[in-house]
Amino acid sequence: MKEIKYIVDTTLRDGEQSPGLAFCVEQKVRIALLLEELGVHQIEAGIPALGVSEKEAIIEIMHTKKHVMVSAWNRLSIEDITQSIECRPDIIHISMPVSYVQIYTKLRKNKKWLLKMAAECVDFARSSGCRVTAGFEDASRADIGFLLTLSEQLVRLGVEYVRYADTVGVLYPSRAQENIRTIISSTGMPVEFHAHNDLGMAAANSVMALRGGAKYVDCTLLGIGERAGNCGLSRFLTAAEGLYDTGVSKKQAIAVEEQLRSVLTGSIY
Amino acid sequence: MPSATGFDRSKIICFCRLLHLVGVDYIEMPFAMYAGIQDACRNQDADRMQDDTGSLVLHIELDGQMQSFPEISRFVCRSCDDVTDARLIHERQINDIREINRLRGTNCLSRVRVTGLDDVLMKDYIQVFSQIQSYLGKEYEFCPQDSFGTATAVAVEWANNGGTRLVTSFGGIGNCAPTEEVLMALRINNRHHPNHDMTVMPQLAALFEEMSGVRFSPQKPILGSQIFHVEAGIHADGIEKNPYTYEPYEPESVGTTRALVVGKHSGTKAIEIKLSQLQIPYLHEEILTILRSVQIESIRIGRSLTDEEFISIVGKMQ
Repeated sequence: MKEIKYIVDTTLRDGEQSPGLAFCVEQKVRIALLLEELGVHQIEAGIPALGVSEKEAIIEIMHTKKHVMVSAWNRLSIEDITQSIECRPDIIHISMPVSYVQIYTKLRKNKKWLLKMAAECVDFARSSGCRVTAGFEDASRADIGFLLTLSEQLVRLGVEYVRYADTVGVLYPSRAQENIRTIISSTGMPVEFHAHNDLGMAAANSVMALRGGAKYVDCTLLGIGERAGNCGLSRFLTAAEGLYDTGVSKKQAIAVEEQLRSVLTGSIY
Repeated sequence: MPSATGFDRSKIICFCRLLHLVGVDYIEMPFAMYAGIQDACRNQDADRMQDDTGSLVLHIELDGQMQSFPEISRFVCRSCDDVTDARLIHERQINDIREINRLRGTNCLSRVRVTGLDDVLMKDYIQVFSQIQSYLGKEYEFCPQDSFGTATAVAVEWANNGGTRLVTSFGGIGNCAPTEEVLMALRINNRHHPNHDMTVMPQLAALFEEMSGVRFSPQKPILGSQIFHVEAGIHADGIEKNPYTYEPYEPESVGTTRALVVGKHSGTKAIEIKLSQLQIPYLHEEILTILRSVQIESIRIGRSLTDEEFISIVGKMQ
């Protein structure tokens, strides 16, 4: 019997962030329903802080979906999380830049500030009654020691699992496996893996992250996403279906991807 | 000029020279293709001919075909019988790790190429590499195939575990690991060939598309025309502060440039940058209103805005 792993589909969040794409409310709801029929575990439905249209789409998805978990993506910001809480998603996902270039250059803050903000934001989100997950943005270029410190804090705060993001797609398989294994064995925190395809290794890294103990894996339909894209769903299933039971059929995934392709006519896809 | 075999000689020669520039050591082609450019190579001065043919490997079907190409020093063949000719690389297809034992009797061959092992990443691949090495020594060639979409990763892991002779194909044609992905992965992670000139990638891609009829996706790793386009507000802001925040390598290193597009996912910083790029004067308090209009229009048309559309929106508001 194959080990069970869970697919988190981020077509409607990281996928849609691909330059050139802009889904309207109806398209987002339609795609979410297709993903639910496909059997993915969780749909990352969007970024409420983007504005009224995005919030409307997430609220509508929450009204129409049946069993699938729906999450909303947030920066490390109380204001962003407030927008998410208004959408009443199943899961509030809080992204935390963790590499030094992200913390010191992009945020212009330091590690102490990040640990403090992480605690404040997680407490605030959990007080709304939502389940909370955390994202380690640019984890593949981060100090693993800092990731362990942050993971330990998040375990204490009640975060359900953390997303290890290879934000710029520079990981290779054995390192993906090793880093995921280290986080799980050192902190007990369950891990979700999020790949980018800059070096053509998104599917391979995702499989090896699962082999390292990750429980969840992020995919997008057609592999849409920033730069060279994310881990494409059917490509992932091609590599992983011999090892894991994700509850998603590759044949049906390809069919849904073809439906999306027809929606994207006129864009770069 | 098209050759007798239908290949354009000058384009093939140019393509080969560009491959050398990006860091490829040997170039393999079917003997029929080489036959079409053979005269062009022979008619060059001796040094140039040595440059062009010294790194060529011809794919042949029979031992006897080697005699027609005395200037070539390496041949690869799947079914040749000659076990003594040091110029010959014997290709062995291994589709499943259970077939590895077939390599046991090949240590009498001068050189061996192992092709296949598509699903090795899903197995204990380090053990598999070690087992192959115990049969063939360290000098065998490896051509991982891509039926599971993992050939680049297998190539990188093989190199990380001591492999030195790797067979790939440009763009991944023929179910191989894409040359450009392997080169960049090894450059980033292993500092392999850091000084080779990868700025010619767009020329290589254009020549390849012209010769093969294949069209690369705008998202194709390394080669895609839009891999350095950025729209998301958080990314545009980060890249403005330091491109390293959201780029795995500099776009200029592969002969391209980054471009900011505006649309549904833009933030105020992206609007400011776009206005400055287009040299449109603005007041700070106008930014949020422009952003909301851009987002509404982007959702309405279902895509990002062109510069002309952005200028039009700003023009109506000012």
